[in-house]
Amino acid sequence: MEVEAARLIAKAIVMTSMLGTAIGEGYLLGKGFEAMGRNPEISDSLFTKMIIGVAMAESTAIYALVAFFIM
Amino acid sequence: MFSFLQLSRPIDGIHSDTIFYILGYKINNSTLFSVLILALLAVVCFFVIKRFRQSPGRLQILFEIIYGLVENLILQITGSKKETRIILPFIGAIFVFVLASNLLGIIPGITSITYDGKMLLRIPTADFSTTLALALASFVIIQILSVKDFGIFGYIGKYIKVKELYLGFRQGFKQGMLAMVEFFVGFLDIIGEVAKVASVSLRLFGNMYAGMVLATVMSGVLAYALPTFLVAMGLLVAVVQTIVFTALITVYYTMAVKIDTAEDL
Repeated sequence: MEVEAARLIAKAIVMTSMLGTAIGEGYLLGKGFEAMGRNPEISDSLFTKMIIGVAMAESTAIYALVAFFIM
Repeated sequence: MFSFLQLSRPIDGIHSDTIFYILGYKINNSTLFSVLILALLAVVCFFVIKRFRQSPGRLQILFEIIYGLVENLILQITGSKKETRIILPFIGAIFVFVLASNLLGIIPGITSITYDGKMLLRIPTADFSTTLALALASFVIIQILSVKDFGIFGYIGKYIKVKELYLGFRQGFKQGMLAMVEFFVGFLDIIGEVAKVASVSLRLFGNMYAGMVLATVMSGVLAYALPTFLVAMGLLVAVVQTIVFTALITVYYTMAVKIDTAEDL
């Protein structure tokens, strides 16, 4: 196999790790909004925590992106 | 076929380029832009603070809104007014710098100025050196404040849990074995501290650099009208990533020090 082809396949494999991030973020946001709808008084505090959680879940995708660019 | 609608140019490299040398030190394009931003912020702050009045003008209201936003964000995470007072100047400075550099990079044309075939001004947060420096600086500050809170032996005891091991084996074999596990988990916490720095700096860098690459790729597809959505998207990403970066540093600070929760909000 040529080196360039192997590189492209590796890049494609790295991108599949973003699937988990999408699922995790969707679950987090859905649950967060559900809780906010039930209890609108604490929505400010919940929103900050939700954004932090989303950022944490997103880190896998960011690592994948960085690996994609340096590959 | 529709090549007149497309604008292809090479994708910007992951490294920043060296523009010139001062006494043997490399001056890169991202360094140039960050110095420019810092000078701009210093001048604006100096003139706005000098003209602070009881009845605020427009610019003063903008500054007060930003201050209130950062203070509210930190207060919500730490949950204590005392801790907010301690960490606010540092977090606020990082917030203003990151927000300014993210937003100034969106101004069309500012990254298109070239010098010697290289980009003259590169967004500072789209260079890994800047974000790593910010993360490392906050890491050092947080560790210093942690030592101040726990004392030097308490701080080392957080990672090398000899005291818990001794107390556990005095209680019995089962507790001793559990303390043994805790002892090894303590070493993992050291790696965790380093991983925090890597993750928080890579996140900001990844988002900003991805924005740059996406702009290049999109103008290769369709150079007209399509970048408008990118700019709108970029504004959102710039603000959200700033909030995420500062919020995460505040969370790490909260994890590293003793928070007095007895105090009311």
